[in-house]
Amino acid sequence: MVFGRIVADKIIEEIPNAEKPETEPVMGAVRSMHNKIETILQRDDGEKFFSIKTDLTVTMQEKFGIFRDNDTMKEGLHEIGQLKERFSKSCFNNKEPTYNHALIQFLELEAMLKIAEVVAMGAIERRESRGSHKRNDYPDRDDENFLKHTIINMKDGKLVLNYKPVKLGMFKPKERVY
Amino acid sequence: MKFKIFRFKEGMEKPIYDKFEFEPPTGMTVLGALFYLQQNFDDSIAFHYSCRGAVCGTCAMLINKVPRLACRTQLEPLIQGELKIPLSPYSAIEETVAWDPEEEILIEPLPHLPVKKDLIVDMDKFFDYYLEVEPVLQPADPEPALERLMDPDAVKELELYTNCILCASCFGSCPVDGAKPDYLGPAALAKLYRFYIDPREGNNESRLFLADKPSGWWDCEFHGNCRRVCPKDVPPLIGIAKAREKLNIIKNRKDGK
Repeated sequence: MVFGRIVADKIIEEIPNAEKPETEPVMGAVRSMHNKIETILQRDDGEKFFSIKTDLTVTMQEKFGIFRDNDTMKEGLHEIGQLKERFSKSCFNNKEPTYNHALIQFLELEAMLKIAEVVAMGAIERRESRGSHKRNDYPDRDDENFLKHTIINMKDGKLVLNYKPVKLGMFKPKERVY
Repeated sequence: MKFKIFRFKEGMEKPIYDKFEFEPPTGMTVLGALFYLQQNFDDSIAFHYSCRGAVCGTCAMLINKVPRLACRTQLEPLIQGELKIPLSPYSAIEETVAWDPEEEILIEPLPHLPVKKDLIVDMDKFFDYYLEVEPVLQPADPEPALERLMDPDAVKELELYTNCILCASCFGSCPVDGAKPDYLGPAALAKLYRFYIDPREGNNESRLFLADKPSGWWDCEFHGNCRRVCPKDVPPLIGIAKAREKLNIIKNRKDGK
């Protein structure tokens, strides 16, 4: 946020005859965020979101920790769905316009729930053990099928899973054995 | 455990103190307690934090009348009186509110900086003073092909000062900063001294003259609070004393003494 702005200002300053950038897209984004915050602050009754954050922590730790398998992860994904549902009806007390930590944490949790789902999808589909991620149901590393990056995109409000090949550098990948 | 927290926001005539009570688990820090209070009692408590691990310097506040990092201060030794730091007195650490150190943890904003809300202070002045000492390396020689090598011994002294995380605990603990708002303060002067002794620096001597004024090197009264509260053991007062000594030598040389 800080450096992006400095860099952008510098680019505009140093490019000869640079056209004045279009501000409307940015202002539009600011307005829609502002409206979103207004709506959040108006919510009065419902579960306080802090407990959802605690529950998300437990789910991610217990269901997507170092040792995992298909069944527990499926349970975990289901739990994330329930947490999203609870989150959509949750609220907090702080209505103050400045230094509103509760609001920041609320927005953070919204993003964390999305990322949790992304992590869950990628982990369930990766039917192998790699690095420190140990799948009890697939104990071995599987370069043939999974030497690739998991890419998850948001399409029409839904998460879509894809893969991208790994760019191999100077070293051939090999299993770490201890 | 009981907590007494400084509360203030724009429009209030003077601050109030809110009281809370809960039993913290072993190992909980003041920052942890603030999160707990926010989540379980009052989600409007405002404070700044970032790394939670004494690296970033964001969560400095006045805890039991000593400027410290909230993330680095554990509740248990604090309430047991094990973390007392004797300080040279100034107004902010005198009694501002009734407080029983054996029963309560008292949390207030860092002194000498304007309070924006609750435990959040406006750091602009602190960073203005920091900018005033030009805190970037200004080497004389052209950029070397590889890197600028340094004698390990020189690095040892340098590191004492480069460890600073700009938390402003020293600034909030300095009786001079309380009395003379123009005084650059321990952190900025320690930073300036750090560039003065940097063997890669091109303007070493002229660096010293940047703060050759009452509100620079010369206002320090050697209370030593800065060093006592520093979470990274930076010794600003030693840098200040050495800088003064050096300036005197340079000035005497110029006078032909």
